[in-house]
Amino acid sequence: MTTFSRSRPPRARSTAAAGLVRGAATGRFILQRCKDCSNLQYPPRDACHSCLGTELVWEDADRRGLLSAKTTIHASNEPYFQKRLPWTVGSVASVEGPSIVAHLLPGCVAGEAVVMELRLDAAGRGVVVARPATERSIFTEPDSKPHEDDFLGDPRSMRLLVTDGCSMLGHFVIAGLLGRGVTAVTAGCPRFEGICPEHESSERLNWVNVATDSAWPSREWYAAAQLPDPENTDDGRVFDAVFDTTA
Amino acid sequence: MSSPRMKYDGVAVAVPVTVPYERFSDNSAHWWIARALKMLLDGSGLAKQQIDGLALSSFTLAPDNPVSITQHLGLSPRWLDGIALGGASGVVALRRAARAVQTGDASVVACIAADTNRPGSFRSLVTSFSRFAQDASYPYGGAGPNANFALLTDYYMRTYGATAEDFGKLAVSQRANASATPWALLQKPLTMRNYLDARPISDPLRLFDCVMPCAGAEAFLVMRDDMVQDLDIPFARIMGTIERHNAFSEDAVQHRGGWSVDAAELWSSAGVTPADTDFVQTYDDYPVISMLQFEDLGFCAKGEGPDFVRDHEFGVNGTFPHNTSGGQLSTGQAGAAGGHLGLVEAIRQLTDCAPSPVHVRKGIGLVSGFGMINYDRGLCSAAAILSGSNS
Repeated sequence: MTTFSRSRPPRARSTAAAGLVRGAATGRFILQRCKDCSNLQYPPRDACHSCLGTELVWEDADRRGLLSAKTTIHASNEPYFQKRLPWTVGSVASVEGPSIVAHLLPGCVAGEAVVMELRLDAAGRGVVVARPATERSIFTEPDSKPHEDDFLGDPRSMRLLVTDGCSMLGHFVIAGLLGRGVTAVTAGCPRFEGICPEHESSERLNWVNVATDSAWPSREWYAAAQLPDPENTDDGRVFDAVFDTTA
Repeated sequence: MSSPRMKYDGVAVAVPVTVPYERFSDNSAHWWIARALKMLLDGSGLAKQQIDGLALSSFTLAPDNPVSITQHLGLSPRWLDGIALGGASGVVALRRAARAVQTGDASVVACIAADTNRPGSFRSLVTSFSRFAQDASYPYGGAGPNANFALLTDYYMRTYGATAEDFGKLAVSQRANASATPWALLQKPLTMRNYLDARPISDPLRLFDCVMPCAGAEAFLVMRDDMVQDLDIPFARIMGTIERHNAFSEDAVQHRGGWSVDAAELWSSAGVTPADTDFVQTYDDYPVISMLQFEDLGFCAKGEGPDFVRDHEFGVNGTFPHNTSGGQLSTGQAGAAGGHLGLVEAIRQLTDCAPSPVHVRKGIGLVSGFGMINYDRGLCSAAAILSGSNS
């Protein structure tokens, strides 16, 4: 299998982490909360680490936190980051409790307040991004990373792909995007033949069949979907952003 | 209040061995384990059939697991433990093996940690190290433990006033200690200037704050005291041990480890105080974590680590002999073997076979372990106090 060669951040995630993609699609800062004891936890788990309840829901959480610690990375194991070094991340003590490792936008100062959001990264995954709580004119080095545009911004005018629109997560993501006024969503249907009858394409939502063993972002995946070959486009991108909802 | 811990009477610790490290190896973990086991047999005079217990730690056995090694190497132990606790594996292997020997479940336990290292294998280890790391820390820069420890170090420096020179002092003195260690991969003398001028890895960490992944093995035997005396080989005794996992999970950033939960009990169960130790072997994948161990194990109070470092000399002849073989920072980190390195060196010191011997006053040393950065902090902490057989 040839794999679409442009590097991306690490894509592997557990099933429990799917809520982060939902948050990125809907623009909400949602985290896992225990239905029994209301404990808010992060990273995502399969049970509440406080009361062991297993009914966990993704609910809006307080975006505010204190930046406990910050580091600018100069050496990465990952080609995607290697091309973008130095890259700054930090540990945020959220006001609701958990410590959250986050990408830091320019201007975040250790020991000071930040606000967090869930954003889509170049791997199609939801990630936590923090910015200073108080906007002010700050001197930042022009090459400091990450920038706003390393994550998906306003999706409304974007060409968006949802890799698996049939999954539970895919449904949530499509609904979230349409709810935000997105006008051009392409959604994959991995059904063996054709497209599930209940999917209705519209002006804003276009379904494509992606019955293939190859996973996005391989060229085979695009070929199966009868989409343009990403390696033949100017910037290697058929879409402006991809929500990877494949389990 | 928990009940008092049983002493380790009747248990001996012997035959500290190190299979000389290599930066990269084409050999498998199995090969490194076999070499270590052979050295244990050669060093003890025991036959392979007499090894009836095995405690094994390795990250690079896949698709095998510890029991596979029994068939691979022709062992038939009646007690087997696979200890996947990274840098805490050595002390935990010691304390579990000791109880097995005391209860009669085993007579001689080979405690072996070994890992191979191929180009790219460190990356594959860190990309899928744990679920939390995969979901919530590795995708944030792909720097693995370097970034985690950078965050700990940044927090510690701002909270307790440690400087780069404080961490540098530990790295520099460990390098000096490594000069006599034949298997240390980094022996070129390191100056404070070299340390400070080294390239940044993940601020505030520089190159010589970070261990170098390599291949290697460390091993020792835990056995019945009467057997060790029949064999007439030098040995050490266990005075006390602790382990603790996932302590202080509510701390925003890890600035103390599980040792501080159990340290008082460690010292009281051993019947000695920090002042009685002739040396300390900390787990040192980054200098900040050594400083946490000085504090949390009671050599100084929380936050006094920087002053403690400024007030002491850490060479084998210094006021606080520390990581006397050079530690992982100089010998390299051979995967799980990094968790056995300090213990093996402590047994060497107490059985008079260390390349760089410390001046022994009481014949007592402390070893500590730390491991498994599951998300943003190390989950496992462990420590043991050992004494020479004549102490």
